[in-house]
Amino acid sequence: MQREPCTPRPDWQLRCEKAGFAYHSIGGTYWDESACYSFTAEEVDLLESATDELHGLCLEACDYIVQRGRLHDFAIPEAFWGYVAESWRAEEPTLFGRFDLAWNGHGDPKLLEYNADTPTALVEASVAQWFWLQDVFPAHDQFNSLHERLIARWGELGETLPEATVVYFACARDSEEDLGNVQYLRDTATQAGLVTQHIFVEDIGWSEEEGAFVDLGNLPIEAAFKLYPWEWLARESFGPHILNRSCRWIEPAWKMLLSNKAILAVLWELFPGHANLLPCYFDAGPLSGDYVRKPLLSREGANVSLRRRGGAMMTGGSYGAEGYVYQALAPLAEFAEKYAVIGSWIVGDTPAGIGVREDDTPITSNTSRFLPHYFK
Amino acid sequence: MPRPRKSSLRVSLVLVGAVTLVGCGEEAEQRDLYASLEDCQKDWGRPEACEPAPRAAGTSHTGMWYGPHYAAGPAADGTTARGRHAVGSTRVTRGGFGSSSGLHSSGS
Repeated sequence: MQREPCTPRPDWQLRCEKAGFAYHSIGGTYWDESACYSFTAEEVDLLESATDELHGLCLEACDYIVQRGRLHDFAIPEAFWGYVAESWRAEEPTLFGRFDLAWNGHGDPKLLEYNADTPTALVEASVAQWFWLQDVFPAHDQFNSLHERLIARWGELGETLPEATVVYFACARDSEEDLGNVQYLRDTATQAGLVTQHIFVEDIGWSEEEGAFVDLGNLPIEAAFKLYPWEWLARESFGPHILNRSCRWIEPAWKMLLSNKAILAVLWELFPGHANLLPCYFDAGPLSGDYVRKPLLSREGANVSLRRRGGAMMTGGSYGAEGYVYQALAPLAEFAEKYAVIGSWIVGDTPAGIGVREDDTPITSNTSRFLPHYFK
Repeated sequence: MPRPRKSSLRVSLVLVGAVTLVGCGEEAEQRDLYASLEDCQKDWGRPEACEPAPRAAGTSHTGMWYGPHYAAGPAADGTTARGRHAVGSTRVTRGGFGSSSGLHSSGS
């Protein structure tokens, strides 16, 4: 794994926009092709294998949590415990997820967290960096079959739905990035042959007569992909209506277990010493060295505290009311005084590619930059 | 043996830019259901105010007709008010999702 300087394509903004990635400069510099990361084929194989392994561990952990009734550790509203367990037992299919890994090319990749419910940075990983590869390193390869795998997975998901079911794609109205991710996912579903519609979550209606969520034309919503966290859906005023089970949600409710930082402590409890896991607990006591405190439900690096000898650093935010986990500190890949985290995607049950995020600090946040990669 | 590629062979998009932003829905809205287009027009006058009421997208017309959306309110006797010639009405509440998104990012 190396960081290499690159010459940006003269029309890179236009190239990104044509690929549906209009928010390439959100917050200043976001897409950054002034450098890239290069890997060897063996390194990519290792990342792929670690992702596959972590996916398997997570599924085992889900089963354990449901069987042992550990949902209380996840700050899930009690009214939803049965619904989550039922979703798991019914094997409701998942579309995707993204493991964030600490790795610098040496040793074993370590799981920092699993974005299992509403992973973003998808368009840049699947589309923008693919076009970058064609333009800049056409003779090399990239660990990125996301586009093909998403289309294939939508085809599989479509087979589990009644014929002619419209799949709605929902996100919050006020985020250009969320809209971009959802538009892209809808695109892949459409290419898989599904009938799709877009709706903002704020526009979703509830019809007492129908006992169903409805769209703006008052037609029932029977299946919905939502880029909107389960913990928000469950706590908002329409949350109780979810429990009447009139709608198939994608991601399924059992992903509430994996997108929660509590899973990191449960994984360590089940698989202590595993090469791809970091020691993690519900309190700091067992950790003797440097550690990171993470809120159970935080997103994009909010309210994360990094405690190490000689100092501490903390990010702002309003998370933490539901509790924390304490995870041993794993040094991130550091190149040219930049810290890199590898986001490794799984689509269905298959590792599907990576994206590299880079920051000036050791805490990756929503302002961290995305750099393309290739391997040879 | 050559190593299989790990990148997509082809990336094409068909829907980019397809979504247009529309205004917020009301808190609670109502739509009356009619047995015929004629009944709907008796209440609303304008034929363009009425439209076929499909049971679900992709299915055929049920024979019923919808009148236009209007802000829901109770009748004098406390029941749901509706047009004189309507055989039923649908009352839909909106805005029950989305309140958390103003505070945090949805993505991760």
